[in-house]
Amino acid sequence: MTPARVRHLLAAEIRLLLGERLTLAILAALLAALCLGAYTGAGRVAAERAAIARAAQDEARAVREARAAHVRYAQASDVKVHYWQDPTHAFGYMTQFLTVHAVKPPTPLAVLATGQSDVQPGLMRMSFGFSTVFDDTDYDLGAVGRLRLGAFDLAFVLVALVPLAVIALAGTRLCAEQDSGLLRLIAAQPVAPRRVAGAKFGAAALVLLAALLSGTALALGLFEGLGPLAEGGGTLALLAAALAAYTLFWVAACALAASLWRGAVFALVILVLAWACLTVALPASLSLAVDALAPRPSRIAAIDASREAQERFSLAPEGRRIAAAWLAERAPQAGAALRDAPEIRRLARDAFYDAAVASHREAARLHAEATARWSRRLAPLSPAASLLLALETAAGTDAARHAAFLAAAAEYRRSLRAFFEPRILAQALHPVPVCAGCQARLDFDAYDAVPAFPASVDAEAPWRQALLCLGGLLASTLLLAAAAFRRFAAWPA
Amino acid sequence: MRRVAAELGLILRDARLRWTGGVLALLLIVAGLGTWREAVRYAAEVERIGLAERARWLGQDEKNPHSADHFGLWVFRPSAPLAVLDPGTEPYTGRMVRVEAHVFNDAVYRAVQDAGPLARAGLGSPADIVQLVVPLAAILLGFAAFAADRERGTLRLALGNGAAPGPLFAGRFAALLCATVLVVGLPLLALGGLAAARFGLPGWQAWPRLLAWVAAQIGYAAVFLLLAMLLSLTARTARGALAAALAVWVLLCVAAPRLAALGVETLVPARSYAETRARIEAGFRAHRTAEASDARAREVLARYGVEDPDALPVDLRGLMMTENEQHNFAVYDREFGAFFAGLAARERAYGWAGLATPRLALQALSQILAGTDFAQHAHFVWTAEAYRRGISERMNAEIRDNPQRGGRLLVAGPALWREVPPFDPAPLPLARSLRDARVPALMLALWIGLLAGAAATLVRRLRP
Repeated sequence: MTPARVRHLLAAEIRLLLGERLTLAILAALLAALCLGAYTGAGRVAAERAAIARAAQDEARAVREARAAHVRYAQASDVKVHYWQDPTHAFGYMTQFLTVHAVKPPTPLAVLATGQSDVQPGLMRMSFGFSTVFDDTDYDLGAVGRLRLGAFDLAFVLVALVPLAVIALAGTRLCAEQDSGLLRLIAAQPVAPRRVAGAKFGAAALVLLAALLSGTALALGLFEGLGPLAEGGGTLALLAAALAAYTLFWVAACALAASLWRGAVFALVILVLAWACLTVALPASLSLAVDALAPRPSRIAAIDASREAQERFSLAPEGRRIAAAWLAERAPQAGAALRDAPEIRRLARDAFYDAAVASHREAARLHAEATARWSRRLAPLSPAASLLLALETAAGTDAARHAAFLAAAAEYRRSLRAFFEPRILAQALHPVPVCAGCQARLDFDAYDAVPAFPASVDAEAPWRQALLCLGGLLASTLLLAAAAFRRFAAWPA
Repeated sequence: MRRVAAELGLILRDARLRWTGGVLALLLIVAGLGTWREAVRYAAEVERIGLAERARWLGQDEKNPHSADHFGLWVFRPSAPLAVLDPGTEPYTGRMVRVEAHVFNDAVYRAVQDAGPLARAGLGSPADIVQLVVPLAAILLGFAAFAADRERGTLRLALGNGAAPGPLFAGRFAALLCATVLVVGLPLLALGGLAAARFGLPGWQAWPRLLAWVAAQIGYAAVFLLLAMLLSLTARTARGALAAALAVWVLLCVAAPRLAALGVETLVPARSYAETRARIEAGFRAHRTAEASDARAREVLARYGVEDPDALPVDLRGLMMTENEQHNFAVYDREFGAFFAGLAARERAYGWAGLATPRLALQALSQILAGTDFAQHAHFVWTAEAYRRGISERMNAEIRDNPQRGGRLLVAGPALWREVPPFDPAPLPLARSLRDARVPALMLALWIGLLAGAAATLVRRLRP
């Protein structure tokens, strides 16, 4: 058969495919799903940006009110101002008024996947003390029902629904002809089975790829705009290639199922079971493997350790001894009376507490990193999990970014403590005289100098993951296509 | 009954049932082992730290009651016995609450936070398997019920021999349902029975919950059996019946639940946690300034007609703390009340969303019956808050009623700490759960009724 005949056959198959009402219905449903996925993604990203903006406003409000208090309290008054009411005091400000956040901003491609963002906080208010065993306490319940099911986002459409559309469109190609007896007629023609299968599945692949890539681009353009997407252009191109490879993987699976020559019912059952295994059962099994490879440290054990520390400190002689030791280490010249000052006791207590739970926090950090690492290593075993991970990494909603975010937040907390501690200590050692009759301490007004969280977006990880995913998917697709090619060597007996 | 027995005999000899049953049993066992292991670990940890926290509370040295209030304790939500079958909302809601002065802390540290990104694939528990895989199994068992006979010509033979279509359909459906009970109901009952025996405390009424829960799962499977048989009645070929049934499965179990969830969130807006916290902060901010505090102190002195705090019959600090807490309680009640009411309304809407897909009806019904629904979480959070308020009120009353003159600080001891009872949260009773289950149960029943009605109509028109 000449190349011109092959092209002719392919064109005929494409015309046939596009002439079927089922094809149009499937493609229309897919486009609608893609638009809906992009719409929900855009809504989520807008909500995240709004939350970050509100947090920034709250931070500005706290500074504004502290400055106003500074002006108000710089005048003689008979109103007693306790330290917990005093934002002009470094200690009072740090423990009661400080409003700063660790922020994980949405990436340019955040619209692609909800990932872990609906269960992991992307915005954490920094605080100190016994109640904070770990930082990641902030979360929004939203609707638990939705959390259980997962979001209807682009990742869900691309990873879970696209293969089903492929199966619906290509799952019974050749099998239907076999069931209806038409295959005998085709086999009687001077054409090799590989040519026929190539034309049939090639046509399905071309139609699906064209519809899927243009549909995804349209959906993204409609609901997110091309501006933010252009920033992640390179990654986006790799993801488009990965998506194409994923689609071809499923077309190749359809071809392989058809090449078994067991009829349409068998092919459909096999393909749907393969879909269930690869998109649901295998990722679930891999999750069990990740659990086994990266055992979870106990949050309750960490709470227990924190309470032991709190109990020890609350016992009068022990607490005094710890405070004295802390003070002696930082200010050997300080008098013994200073160790009972509330700010000294509090700082000593927090340092003691941090030391007591440090190993648990470290274990949690290592666990988060190990979970992300093992998930990344095992995901290529499932094409669906691999594509999902690539989409989540591009969206910045993956576990690895969150682990890095938690580590950065912990570092930020340390930097805040390092900022305030010398100021509080200096004031305790050498109190600044205030105006006569003023009740507040008036020793702190460096509100703008308080460190800000260095929010970051990893530019490397998304394209690296997308490239890895593309490589894995191409290899799997070639493997399936080769197996189908081999089996299509002859018509069934 | 003879017809059912004969059909059942045929089904039991069918390799499809052996394969389907084997895979289902394997999946249920693997998922059940995972949830069982987690339940055992959590229960042991909660018991151990619960005792340790109680000992710490009672073992405090002498101190001011307000310091004891700040010392506080952690309380933990016990897992429902049937969480082994359906963890429901438990992994998505915090189960640990820090009880301390002034602050209504939320339940923190959700299990889902510590799970990897692959954990949300959707087969983490027996309930997930029932919701997603059992329909597929039911379809594979039922799609050929009539279509294969029609394709082979044996349906014409059966009808020609005088077999009435109605009893034929009923017999096959009953046999398939029996087979489903065998491969789905019995493993679930066994797993649930073990869980009820191991974790069931009297307040949970675990056994009646288990029976109702298993019945709900069978009802759900019946929906898909009916659906598969219905399509089998109308399809000309088994291939057509299977393709249609699989398409419906994708729609009802994969796509529609997420779509319906999206619809619920859009139609039933709920206030966010961040917004609620911001409102609470705003409610406290003006109240806790030095000026506001001073004004309240003056108001108290004026109320008692004295100028010197030492002349008061009560302790000024204790009285002000008591009144302060009342203000805080009111703010918390208003804001968290609205927050939880919004979320509860949303969860209730999920029951109605069962009209769009039986999977949502079952999800809502299943977690309510298992005692792992959102209402149980909210009940725990408010129980913990009531406990916190009880401690704060008792500590503040001790200070208020024992005025200390000349700036001295009241010191209390173990006798006062012992007045605080251990934290012993009771779950919402089964009667309340059954009340909450009415809507999703109705939705599931509606699906069964509609499909049964459609089947009855189609059976009358059955053509070979």
